Amino acid sequence: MTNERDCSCDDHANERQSLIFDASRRDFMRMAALGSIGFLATNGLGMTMAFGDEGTKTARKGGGGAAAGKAKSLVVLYMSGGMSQLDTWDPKPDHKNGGPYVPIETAVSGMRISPHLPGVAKVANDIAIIRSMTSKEGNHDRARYLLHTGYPPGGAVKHPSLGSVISNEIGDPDSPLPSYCSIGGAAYGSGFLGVRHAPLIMRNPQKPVDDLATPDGVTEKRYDRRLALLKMFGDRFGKSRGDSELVADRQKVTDRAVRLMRSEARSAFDISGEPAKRLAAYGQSKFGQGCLLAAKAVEQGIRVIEVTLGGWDTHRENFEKVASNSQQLDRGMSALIADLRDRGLLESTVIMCMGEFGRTPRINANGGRDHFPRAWSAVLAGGGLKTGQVIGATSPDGMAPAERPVGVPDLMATVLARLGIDWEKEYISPNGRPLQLSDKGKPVAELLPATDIAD
Amino acid sequence: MAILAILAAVVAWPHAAPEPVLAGNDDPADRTRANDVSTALAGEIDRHIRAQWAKAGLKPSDAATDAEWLRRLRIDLTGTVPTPDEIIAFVKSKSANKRVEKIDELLASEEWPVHWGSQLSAAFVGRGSTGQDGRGAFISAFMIDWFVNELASGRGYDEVMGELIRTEGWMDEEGNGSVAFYVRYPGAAEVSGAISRLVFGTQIQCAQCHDHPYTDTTQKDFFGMAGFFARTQQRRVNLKKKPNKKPDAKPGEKPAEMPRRGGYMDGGGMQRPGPGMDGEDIRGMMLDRIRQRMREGRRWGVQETRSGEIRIPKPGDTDREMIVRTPNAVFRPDVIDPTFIDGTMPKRKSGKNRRDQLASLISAEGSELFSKAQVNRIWAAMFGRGIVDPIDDLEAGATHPELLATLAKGFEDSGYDLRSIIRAIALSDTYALSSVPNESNAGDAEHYARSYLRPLPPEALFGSLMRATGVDEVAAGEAAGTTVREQLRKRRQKGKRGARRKTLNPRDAIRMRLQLLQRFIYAFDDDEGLEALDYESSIPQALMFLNGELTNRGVEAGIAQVLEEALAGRNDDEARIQHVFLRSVGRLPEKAEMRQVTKMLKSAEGDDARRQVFEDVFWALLNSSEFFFNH
Repeated sequence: MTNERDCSCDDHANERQSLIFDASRRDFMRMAALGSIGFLATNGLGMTMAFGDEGTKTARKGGGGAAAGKAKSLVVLYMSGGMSQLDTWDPKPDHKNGGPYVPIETAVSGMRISPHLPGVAKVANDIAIIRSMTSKEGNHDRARYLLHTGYPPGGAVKHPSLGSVISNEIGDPDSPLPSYCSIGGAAYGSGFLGVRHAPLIMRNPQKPVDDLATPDGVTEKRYDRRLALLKMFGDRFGKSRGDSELVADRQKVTDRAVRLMRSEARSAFDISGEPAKRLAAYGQSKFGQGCLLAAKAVEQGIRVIEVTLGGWDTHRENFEKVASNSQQLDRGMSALIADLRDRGLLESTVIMCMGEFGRTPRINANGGRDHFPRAWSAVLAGGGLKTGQVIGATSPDGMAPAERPVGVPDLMATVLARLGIDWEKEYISPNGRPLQLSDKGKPVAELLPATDIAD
Repeated sequence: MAILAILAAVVAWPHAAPEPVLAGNDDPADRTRANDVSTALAGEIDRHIRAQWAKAGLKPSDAATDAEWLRRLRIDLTGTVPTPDEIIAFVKSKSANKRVEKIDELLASEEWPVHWGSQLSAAFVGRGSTGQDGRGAFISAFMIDWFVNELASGRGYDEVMGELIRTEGWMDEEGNGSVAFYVRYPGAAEVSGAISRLVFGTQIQCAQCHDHPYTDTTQKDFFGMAGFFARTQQRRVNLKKKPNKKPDAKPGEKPAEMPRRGGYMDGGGMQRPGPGMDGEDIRGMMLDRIRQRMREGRRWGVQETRSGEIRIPKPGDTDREMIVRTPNAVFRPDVIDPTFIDGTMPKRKSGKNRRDQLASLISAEGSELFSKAQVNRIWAAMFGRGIVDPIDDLEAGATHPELLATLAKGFEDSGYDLRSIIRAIALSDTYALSSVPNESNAGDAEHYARSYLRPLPPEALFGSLMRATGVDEVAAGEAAGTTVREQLRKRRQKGKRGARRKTLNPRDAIRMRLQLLQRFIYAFDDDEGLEALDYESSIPQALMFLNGELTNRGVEAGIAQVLEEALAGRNDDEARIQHVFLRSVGRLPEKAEMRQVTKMLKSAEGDDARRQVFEDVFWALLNSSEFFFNH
C-alpha cells in the first residue's frame, strides 16, 4: 500500500470545532445597549482622555485615497486548499481528465462552467474567468504566501499582503474600522507596513468580534481609569526601552480596539439585524454569512474583505467535495453580486475568487486531485471590470495554459489598477530593497477600462 | 497522556521550588561533563558577541538587575513569571552562585520539560488549531506529551530526533507520541520537507516544484530526501469498519477494540506532576473526549515497508506517481536513490531500513547541519532572534558564524544535551544585559548589545497570567490531595458572596487556555493542518486581554488573594501595592507610580472602591507591554 493521505472531511468540521475550541458564548447582543457616543472623559487619574467616535451612518465613505471612476473595495473569496479548476471554471467534458460533471451554459454565450455553480451562471455577465493562471508554487504555505503577497516566500523580507497594500494606499486613516478584514480563515499580515494595516481577522461571521463589551461590573468611568493606567504604564515602559516601536504598536492596537468598542461603526460586523430576506439569500453556511458580512463591510467603506471557504484540498473524493463546496460558493458569490448590484456598489467593488493553486487534471487513485500550480483558474467580478468574458485557455487535457498565460503578479496588478493604485509603485523594504506593489506584474488589459492603463 | 502535559502546564505546579525529577538516564557524571561544557561555552558566547560589538561600534547596555534577570529566565525556561516570594528570596540571597543555582534549579524542575516540550511541539507540528476530523488536537497533544517525556528523560537530543525519524506504531492510547509527527505530515514529500527543515535546518520544500531560485538546491535534492521516506506507510483506520486482516496492513499487534483505560493515557507517560494529576475532575473530561473520538473510529499510524522508490514526477503527475512500488523499481532509470541534503548516499544493504539510515546521519555526516539547526532554535528561544534568521533556514546565513559553529560543537561535546546549551546561554553575560538601551545600541537588532523585547509565546503568556493571578495555586492545592470539586465546595462553604465567580477552576482554565490560543492561531483548513501564529494583527487579542474573562476573572481572583489571603490582617497599602507590582511585572513600583496608586486609594471610599483600585491597577499591569513582552 502507499502513502495514505488523510484528507479533508467536512462533515466533521463542526465536531472538530467543538472539540478544539469549546469556547463560551457571550451574549453578543448585550453590547448593542452600550454607549457608542464620542466623549471627552475625565478619568480617575485626573487626566483628560479623548475617545472620539468617528463612526458614521452614511452608507459609504468617500474618504481615503480612492480615485473617481475607480473601484473602492475588494472582496476576495479565498478557496483555501486549492480549488479544482476543471470541476468549476474550466470544464473539460470531452477529455478523460474532465471528470463526471456535465458543464452548463451561462448567461454569457459560450462560457460554460460547472453544473454546481448555477447561481453564478445566471450572473455570468458580471464575472470574468481567467483560465490561464499559472504559477510555480505547489506547496500550500508557499503558494498561499504568493497568492496573498504577489511574491514567493524567501529571504528576510516579510512582504505585505495585497490587502495591507490596499489599506496603505487608499484606506481611510480616520476610520474606527480597520481597512482590511478577513473572515473565516487565516490572513496574511502587513509585513513591514506595520500594525495599522494588519487585517482584523474574524473567525465566525455570526459572532465576528469577541469581547467588544466592557467586563461585567466595570463601569465606563472605571474602564477609563483602567485605560489611563494602562497608558501610563505603557508609556513609562516604552520610553525606558528607547521609545520601543513594539510597545508603541501595542498601544496603537489597544487604542484601535477601544475605538472599535466605542464606535457605532462596529455594527458593520453584526449581521443579526439584517432582514430575513437578505439573510436567506446568502444561505446559512458560514461562508454565505461571511459573504453577507463582506457586503456590509463594503457598505461601511472597508477596503478589503477576504472571505475564506476551506475544504478544497481534495486529494480524495474530489468530486463529492467539489460539489458540496461549490454549492456554498455559488450561493454566497451569486448573492454577493446581486446584493452589491442592488445597493449600487457592484461597480465600485472588485470581487476576486481563487485558491492557492489548481488541482491536477489527472485523477488519482483515490478519486482525488493533487496540487497543480501550472494551469488553473481565477475569477474576477464587478468593480467596473470588463466582465462577461473568458481570458486565456488551457490545453484540451488541462495540463498547461494554451494561450495568454497570466501570472499571480499580473492578477494583482489588474486589481490594483482597477482600484486606482499605481501597480508599479515601489516600497522600500526595511533592508533597503525597492519592491514593486506587484512583483513586476502587468495588468490584464482586456479586463480594464482604457483609462486605467492610459499611462 | 498528552493532555496531561497541557494540564500540567495549566495546573498543578506547586509554588515551592519543585523537586528535581530527572532520573533514569540522567547520569550525574554526564551532568557534570555537560555542565563543564556549558560553563566554558558561556565564556565563548561572550567572547564572540563582544568581538562584534567592537566592530559595529556598539556599547553594551548595563547588566540587568537580579529581578529583571530572574523574570527573563523564568519565562524563557519555564514559561511563567516568578512569584513575589521567589523574586524577594532571589534578590535578597547573598549567594555568589545564586544565578547558576537558579538556572540549575529551573532546568531540573518539572516545569522545564513541560514548557520546552510544548514549544518544541508547536514548532514541529503546530498548536493543533486545525486538522481534518479532529486530528490537529490529537497530534498536538501526543506530540507535546512525547517531547515532554523525552526532555525529562535526559536522553541526548540526537537520540530523541533519531527516534522521531524512525518511529513506528499507532497514535493511540498506548502508542508512541512521536507517531503524531507522521500523522501531521502525511506523505513522503511532506515529511521529508519537514524533517529537512526542523531537524537539519534546511529548506527544500520549494524544490518539490522547481529548483531553488537563489541557492543550488535542485529538485533532485528534494526527491533524494524524499527517498528516505519512500517506504514509509502512513495509515489511517476507521475502527467502525471491519478491521483490515491483511498481514501488512497493521503495524504492530493491536486489538481493534480500544481499551477503556490504557496505561498510556492514565499517566504512564506523565507520572511526574504528582497525585494532583489523578484528579478525576480535570482529567476525566479531556480523556473522555479523546476516548470517545477514538471509539468513534479513527486511528492513525505509521510503519516501514519493504518496497517503494521515489522518482521525480513529471508536471501534472499525481502525488502517488512519485512513488513506484514495482518489484524492480530500484533499477528504473528515473528512480532517485535516497540522498541526504549534503549529497551523502547511504550504502544499500546496510541492514537498516531507509529511515534508520537517515536517523543515523544525525550524529554522522548530518551532524553539523543538525547541531547548528538545533542550537540556533535554542538561541532564538532565548534571545528572540536566531543567529540564523529565519530559523530553520541555515542557508540564510549567520550573523555570528563562528559562534554558531562553536555552539554546535559544544552541543556535540555535551552529548547533544539541550540543557547544556540553554545553560550556557543563560550563564552568559550577554543574556544578562538589560533591555534598556543606550545611545549606541538603540538601533541594534542583531548584535545583542542589549536584551531585545520579544512577545511571550502564547503558552507562556497563559502560564504567566495563571501564575500572576494565583489561579494555579488552586491547582497546587489539588496536587496536595484534594480534588477540584472539594476545593470549590470548600470555597463556597466559606460563604462569601461571589466567591465562586472569583475562583478560576482548572476546568475554566483549560477552556480559557484554548480560547487564548485561538486568538493567536489561525487555521488554513487544508488537509495538512497548516496554521499561522499571529502576533501582529491583534485587535481580537487586544479585546480579549482588555475585556475577556481570562484577565478579568483572573484579576478578581488575584486581588482577592492579595487582600484576603496574602496580606490579610496587615494594614499596609504600600506592601499591597508592591505585591501587585511584583506579581505582575516582577518589580517594585517606582515612586511616581506608588504616589499615583496611593492617591487613588485615598480618594476611594469603602472596601469596594478600594478593592476596585487594586483591581484596576492589577488589570493595567497585566495588560501592559511590560507584562506582554519578555525583556
